[in-house]
Amino acid sequence: MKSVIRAIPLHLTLVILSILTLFPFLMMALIASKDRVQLYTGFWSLPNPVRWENFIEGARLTAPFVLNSVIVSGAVTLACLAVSILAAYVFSRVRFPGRTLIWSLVIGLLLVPGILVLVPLFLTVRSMGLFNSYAGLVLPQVAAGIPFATFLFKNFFDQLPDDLFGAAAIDGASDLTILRHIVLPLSMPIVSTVAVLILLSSWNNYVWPLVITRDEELRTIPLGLVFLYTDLNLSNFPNPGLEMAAYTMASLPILVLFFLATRTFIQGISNGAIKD
Amino acid sequence: MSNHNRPWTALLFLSPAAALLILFAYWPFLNAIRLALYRSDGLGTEEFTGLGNFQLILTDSLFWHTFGVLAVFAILLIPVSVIGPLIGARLVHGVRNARAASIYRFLFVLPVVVPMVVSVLIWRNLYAADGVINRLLETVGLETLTRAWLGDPSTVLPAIVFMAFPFVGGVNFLIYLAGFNNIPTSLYEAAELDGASLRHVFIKIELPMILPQVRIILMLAIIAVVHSYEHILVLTGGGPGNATLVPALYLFRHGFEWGNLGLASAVGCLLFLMAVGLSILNLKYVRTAE
Repeated sequence: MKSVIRAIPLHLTLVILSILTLFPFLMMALIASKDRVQLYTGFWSLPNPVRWENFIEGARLTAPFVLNSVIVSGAVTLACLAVSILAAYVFSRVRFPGRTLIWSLVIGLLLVPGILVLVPLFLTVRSMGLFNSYAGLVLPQVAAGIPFATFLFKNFFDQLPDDLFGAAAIDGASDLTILRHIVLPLSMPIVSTVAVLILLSSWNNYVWPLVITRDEELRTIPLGLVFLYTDLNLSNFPNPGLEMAAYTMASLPILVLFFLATRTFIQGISNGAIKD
Repeated sequence: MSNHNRPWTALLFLSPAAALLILFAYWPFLNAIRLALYRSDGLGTEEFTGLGNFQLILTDSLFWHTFGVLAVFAILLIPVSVIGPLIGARLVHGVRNARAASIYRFLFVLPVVVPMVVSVLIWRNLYAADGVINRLLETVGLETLTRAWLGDPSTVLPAIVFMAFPFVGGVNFLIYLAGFNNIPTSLYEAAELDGASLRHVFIKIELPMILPQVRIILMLAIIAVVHSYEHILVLTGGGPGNATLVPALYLFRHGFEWGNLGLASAVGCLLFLMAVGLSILNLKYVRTAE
C-alpha cells in the first residue's frame, strides 16, 4: 500500500509528460473532428457531433500518396534487405581477396552525410533517364540503406556458431541453400529490426521525392501533404478540420503497424540511432 | 568449406550491392568533390574554377550567417535533447509496474513513427496567428504575448526548438532506457541496504553507469543539429528573411533553387569535413574515456 501511494507523484508526472508529448497529435485529432462552425463557436470543446466526413474526405485526398508510399517504401525495404543480406553473408562467411579493404569502403559510406551527395545524386539519376519515375525514387534509397543494413546483418551473422556452417558444408549444401535454410530462419529478429529501420526512413523521406519527381501521380505521403496546402488553396480558404483530418489519415498506416509490432519497432528505432 | 576462398560466390552475392553503391553512392560522392571545383548550373555548362567556389562561399556573409543560426540551434537544442530524454527514461525506469512502464514507453516513442512532415505541418498550424498557441495564451490572459511565431525573426528559432517539447521522448529516450535497464539490480539492492536516498542513487550509481549513453547521445545530438534541415525547409523555407537558414539548407538552395551546383557541392564538402572531424573527435574522446 505504501509503495502504491509513493508511486502516485511519479505516475502523475509521467501522465502529464505523455499528454504534453502527444499534445500536437491530440490537437490534430480535436481539430480534425470539427467543421468550421464548430471550431468558431467552441474551439476547445469536444466535438459534438464528430465530423466523420472530414476523415472520409481526408482519406480520399491522401489515398494516392499513401499508395505511392506503400509501393516506394515497400520496394525500398524489400530490395535493401535482399541485397544487404547477400552482401553481409559474403563479408561474414566467405573469404575472398580484398575483403577487408572492400568492407572498409562500405563502412566508410556511413560517414558521408546525405546532404553532400544530394546534388550529384540528382544529376546522376537524371542523366540515367530516371527523373520523375518510380525507379528514380526507389533505387537511390535502396543504395542509401545498404551500408548500415549490411553492417547490422554482418554483426549478426558473425555471432552465429561456426559448427552450423561446417555441418551444412560437409553435406554439400551450396551457399544459397545455407543462407536460405540455416542463416535466414535464425536471423528473423535482425531482419525485422532492419526492415523497420529502412521502412521508417523511407516513409519519412521528403527531400528525395521532392527533387526527383515532378508529377502529382508520383507523390509520396510527405510530399503530397506539403503540396496539399497549396492544392486545396488552404491559405485563402482555410479548412483546418479537413487539413488535420488529411494529416491524421496519412499518418494512420504506420501508426497501426507500430501498434501491432511495438517491440519490433522499438528495437529498430533503437538500433537506427547508432547510425548517422 | 566455410570461410574458404570462394571468389565466385563472393562476386555473385556482392554484385547487386556493389552495382547500387557504385552508381548511387561512390559515383555521386566523387562527383560531389569534382563539382566543388567547377562552376555549374546543372544544365550543361561547366567551367573549372579550382578553389573559386570555396573562396566565394567563405567570403559570403550569408554562409557565415547560416553558421550563426546553426550555433543558436545548437545552444538551444543540444542541452535539452541530452538532458530531457534522460529525465524521461529515469522516470519510466522508476515505474515498478511493467505494464504501465511499457505504456509510457509506447507513448514517449509514438512521435517518432508519425511522419516528420506531419509533425511539422501540425506545428505550422499551431503557431499560426489564429492557432492553438495564441488561443492558449488568450485563454490564460496573456494576449499581449500573441504573435505570428514563425513570421517573427526573434521568435522563430525558439519556436522550431519548441516543436520537440517536452523533450523527454524519442530515440534518445530509448537509448537511455536501455542503459538504465542494464544497471545490475544488485547495485540497487546494495544502495537500498545502505539506506541511500534517490538523489544519492542517481548521482553515485545511475549517472556513472549511463555515462556511455550520455556520450553517444551528445554526439548524436551534435550531428543531428549539423545535418537536419528538412523540417526547416517544410516549416519556413529558411525564412523569415534568412532567419532560419542553416548551412545544409543553404546548400540545398544553392543546388536546387539558385542553380549554383558547384557552390552547393563546395558547401557539401565543408560539411563532410566537419562530419569527419566530429567523428575523429568522437573516437578519440570515447577511447580515452573508456
